[in-house]
Amino acid sequence: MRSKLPSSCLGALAALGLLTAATPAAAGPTCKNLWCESAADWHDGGFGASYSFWSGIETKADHPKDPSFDATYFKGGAEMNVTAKVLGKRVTIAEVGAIACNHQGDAWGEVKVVAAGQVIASAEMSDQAEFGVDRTLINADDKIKLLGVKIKLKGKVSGGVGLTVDPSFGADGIGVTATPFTNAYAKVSASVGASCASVGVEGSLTAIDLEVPSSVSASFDAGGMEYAVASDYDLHAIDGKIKVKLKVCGVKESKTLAKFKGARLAGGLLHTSGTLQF
Amino acid sequence: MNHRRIAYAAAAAFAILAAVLLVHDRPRQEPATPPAPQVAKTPAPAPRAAALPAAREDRTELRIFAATMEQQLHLGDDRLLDERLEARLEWLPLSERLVEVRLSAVRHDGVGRELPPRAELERPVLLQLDEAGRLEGLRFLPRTGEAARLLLTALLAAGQFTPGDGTRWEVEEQDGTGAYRAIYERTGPHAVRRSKRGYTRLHERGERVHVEGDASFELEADGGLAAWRATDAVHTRSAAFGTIAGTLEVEARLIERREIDGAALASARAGAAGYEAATLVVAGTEADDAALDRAMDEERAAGATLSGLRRAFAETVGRPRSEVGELRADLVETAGALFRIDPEEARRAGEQLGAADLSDAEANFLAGGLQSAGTREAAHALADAIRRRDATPEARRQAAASLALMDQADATTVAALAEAAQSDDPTVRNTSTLALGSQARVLGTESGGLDPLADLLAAYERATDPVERAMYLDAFGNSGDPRALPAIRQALAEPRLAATAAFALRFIDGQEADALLQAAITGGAPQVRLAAWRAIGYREVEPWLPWAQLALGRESAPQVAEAIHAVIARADD
Repeated sequence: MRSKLPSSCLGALAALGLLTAATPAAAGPTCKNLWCESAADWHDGGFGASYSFWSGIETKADHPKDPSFDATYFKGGAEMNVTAKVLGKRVTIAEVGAIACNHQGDAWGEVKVVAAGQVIASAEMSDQAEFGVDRTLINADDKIKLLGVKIKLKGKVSGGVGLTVDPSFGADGIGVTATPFTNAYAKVSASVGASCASVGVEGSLTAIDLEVPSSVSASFDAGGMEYAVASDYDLHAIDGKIKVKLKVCGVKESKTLAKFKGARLAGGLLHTSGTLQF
Repeated sequence: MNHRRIAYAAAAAFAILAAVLLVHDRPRQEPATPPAPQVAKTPAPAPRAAALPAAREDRTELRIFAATMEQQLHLGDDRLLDERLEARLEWLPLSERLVEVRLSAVRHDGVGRELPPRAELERPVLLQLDEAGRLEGLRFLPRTGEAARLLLTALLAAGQFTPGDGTRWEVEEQDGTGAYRAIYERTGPHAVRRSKRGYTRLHERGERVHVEGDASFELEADGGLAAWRATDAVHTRSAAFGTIAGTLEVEARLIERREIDGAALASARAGAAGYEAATLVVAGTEADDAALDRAMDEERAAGATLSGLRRAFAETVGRPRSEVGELRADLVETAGALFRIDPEEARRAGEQLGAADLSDAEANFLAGGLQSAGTREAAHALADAIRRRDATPEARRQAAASLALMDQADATTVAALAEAAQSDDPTVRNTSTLALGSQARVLGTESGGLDPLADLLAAYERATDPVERAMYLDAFGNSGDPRALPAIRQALAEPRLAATAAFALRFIDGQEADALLQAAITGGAPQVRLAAWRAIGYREVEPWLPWAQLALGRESAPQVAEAIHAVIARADD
């Protein structure tokens, strides 16, 4: 379920010159059958973040009316999708997943890491692996020219994107232990091009810090599917304040560009095991 | 005396519009500026038959006006600028299309901007007019400061008076900010009003600037201008500062006429050759931007050394990401600033990245810093590391991933990645192949003979293993090149590859890609629908909103429904 904080009311506050402070909606994850998902979207003016994740096992029980999914259908693992927004520019900064499938007689597993729209790793899930990068994920500029005084703001979102994965593919079963992660932080720097002006920036914003460690397994026999799911999550999002202090030729201006109280959610998603009868 | 030019100069207002200019350097999928019609294409009104003669060969008339100007500028509710100017404005036609204007007795005061030196404001400036009397641009004396140029451009552009026949005429004019449609109406035998409502284009890319301006001109019996009053209100928006609004009021009245003899006129004409070319754009130069960027980098990298940053990053190993993630991001960004300031440091980082004894974390840091730098030197340092025989597989992989995330591509980087794409190490081969797709995107159509996508397409044709084919499809997706569409279309029909193929459509423009995505979201399996909606999230989402609303109502897979919600949320941006 996606929770969302609309910007309209915040925009009205901003127009009144009031300090805006977005209070993230702290919606917990939704679990159904053997999987869980969660999503939220926060934005306030030029800054924000969103995420969604899925983890667990999907089976025939999730597609009861679709004949293309037979009793041995299995999709298991974890994946996440994260966006961040700085100075009005929103980018999907991460799509990370480790998913194993058994469908229509074909079994495979795939690991994919997409950073800022570019697939930087896509591989068959075969061995224990770890891949993560710490990079600049968004560059955004805001340049203002006011009667000869140029103010340039550079916004960046940087952080880590990746996952660890440990798969097992046997003759009668599939297992995946995976932890996709994304952590991203927004920073703004500023410069002003006039001898009678100065500018400074205070603070930073944790856009998101999300990990979804998951361990799923399934084995099949004629009677059904034996399964085990252990999924957790740890989310810290949209927390911090960025303030610009400007002195322009006798005038002082202070502007809070972003202020969020932060959302922290963590815990177990699903810890269960059993047998599904076909 | 040519009354239309007198009127033009007399109407000189101090356009705040030229002073408020927001510029976003980043490429925008949807430029906020309106489409850019060519302002000069609009036919100017024919010169009026009754126009008074311009400067004669042997003498002309100097007209002097008393002018006042007040303007304010607000960031949100806070006043940032408040200034007032009083001056005598001297107007001296040198020819039919050239007028010398000079301020004198300037009294200028205010806060919120760098006040130009009075001496610079009192330097003469030439107005270049076209055949119809429309302002083409201002010609400044060399070494006139930007603050003075801005003020004089605003002063002389805002009040421009383009003559016309009849009781109403329209003409496209320009000021320091952009082009606008000016509507002139004769409101009495000796009165003309002019209004402008919005820009048709801006001189520079950026947020839309809204303007509403009205001016009234009082004419003398001989057609010359006796007085004018102009008001302008502008507003625009900055992602950081929010609404920026300004107001301007300017008034002027003719106070003196004086005959100028031939010698003085000849002297002024002779000096015209020493002025710069005509322009209405007082834009910040690339050099100005570079100076601001460098100042920010120097502040960030002050006191930092590559070895110190590298050591600090290595010390984060083994600690929870939640504790060290922000520190890592800071270290990478600081390294990027360091590499931008000193390209030699970037080269050294490349050498270190290619060393045999490098830890995975250090490889991540060095490659991350070089990616953050974003410079050609940094890209070449990454390419150098990839080609080093001693480099660890992780270092080569990290370097390739960085090249995938940079806007730098040339023969050096493509060659390094092409070589690495043949590596025996599957992880190096994978990331390098994917990065080649990204490099194809950066190279675009101006590839200088480089065509990594052609090689990727050929390799895809040869590949039989679905995992390998999926990798090439992902590389196609990184490229956004429509030449990959036949391969993607074919892969969409293969259950094992369909989701990868759908996601590969995300950056490919055009109707065919749209049609394939439509088919994927309506007829695909859940994983394919999910990939397709995720791909749509990278595109201009507005055209997809009706599809999203329709799909949402019938989507049975929650994860796909969430992806649809995400697309809808994008529209709010």
